[in-house]
Amino acid sequence: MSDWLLAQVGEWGAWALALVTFLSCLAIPVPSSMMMLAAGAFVASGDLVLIEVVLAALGGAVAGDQVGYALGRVAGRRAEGWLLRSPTRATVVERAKLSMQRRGTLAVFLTRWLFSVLGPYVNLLAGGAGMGWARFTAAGIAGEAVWVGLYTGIGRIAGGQMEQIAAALGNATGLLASLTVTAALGWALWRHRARAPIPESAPRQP
Amino acid sequence: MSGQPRRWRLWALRAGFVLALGLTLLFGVRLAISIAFWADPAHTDQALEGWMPLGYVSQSWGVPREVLVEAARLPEGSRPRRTLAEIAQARGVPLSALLDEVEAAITNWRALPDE
Repeated sequence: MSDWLLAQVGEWGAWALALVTFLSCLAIPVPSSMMMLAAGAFVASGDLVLIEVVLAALGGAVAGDQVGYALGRVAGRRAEGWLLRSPTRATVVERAKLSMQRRGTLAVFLTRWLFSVLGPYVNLLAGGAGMGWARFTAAGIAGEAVWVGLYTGIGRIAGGQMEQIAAALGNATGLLASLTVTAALGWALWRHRARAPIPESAPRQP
Repeated sequence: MSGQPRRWRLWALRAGFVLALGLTLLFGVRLAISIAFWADPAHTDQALEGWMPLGYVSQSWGVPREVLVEAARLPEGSRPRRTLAEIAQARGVPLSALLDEVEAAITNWRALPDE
């Protein structure tokens, strides 16, 4: 499938890119990063124009984010009655809203490019938890700009060695993900120990 | 036994941590290898595929674009950004035949003495 998509970038250029970034922001599994790499390489080889590529990719991504946010809002509103009826659910909702207030902007920004697999779900959450549209959009555009710039830039540097760069990038992403999980689990372990040390050699109850 | 579920959780966390750490090391090694592979000049040419536009091939194999245009026998007045697959289709030849032609032309060009 990705070969076919790469062919579309070659044939349709920026339009294909806009469509793909749009779909990827709605959690549809398209290899958007790979295609942006390709677009960057095509800019370097003179097959595509940089400004078109950037505007198309950015436009598609921002549009996709907006749709996700809107969907989250609609779903949030419709579920609001049901959510607030139970005190436990209402507490969860309140906490979600609070987290969104505090770290929401940063979460939106980082999930555009660093943890992009979470992006579409953060869109839904942001809309559902009632994150302000202006903040969401600002953080979204900023993050998407980093994403587009980063991958297009790497693609341009990769030039004619896209396959090799794509492999390296895939491993780098995997490294980042597993490093994050390792750090998170390590931190959880640390807290677990600090809270109540379990006597490892305690004798069992008779 | 209130200690039991706690103990189980601790072991689960530990196992998860070791697993994640292992994956981290695995990806780190793979990343190092892929970078070394990329940096090796012998591997710079990317195998020809249908989705590649001529400019991309030119960049990947270090061959001037005009040489490729001639080799691919691009019809006059074609859109500049043509992928190999499009060219093959426009000429009515199978893609593999076009790829062989282009690769042969590249080899010939590379064999030319420097002037």
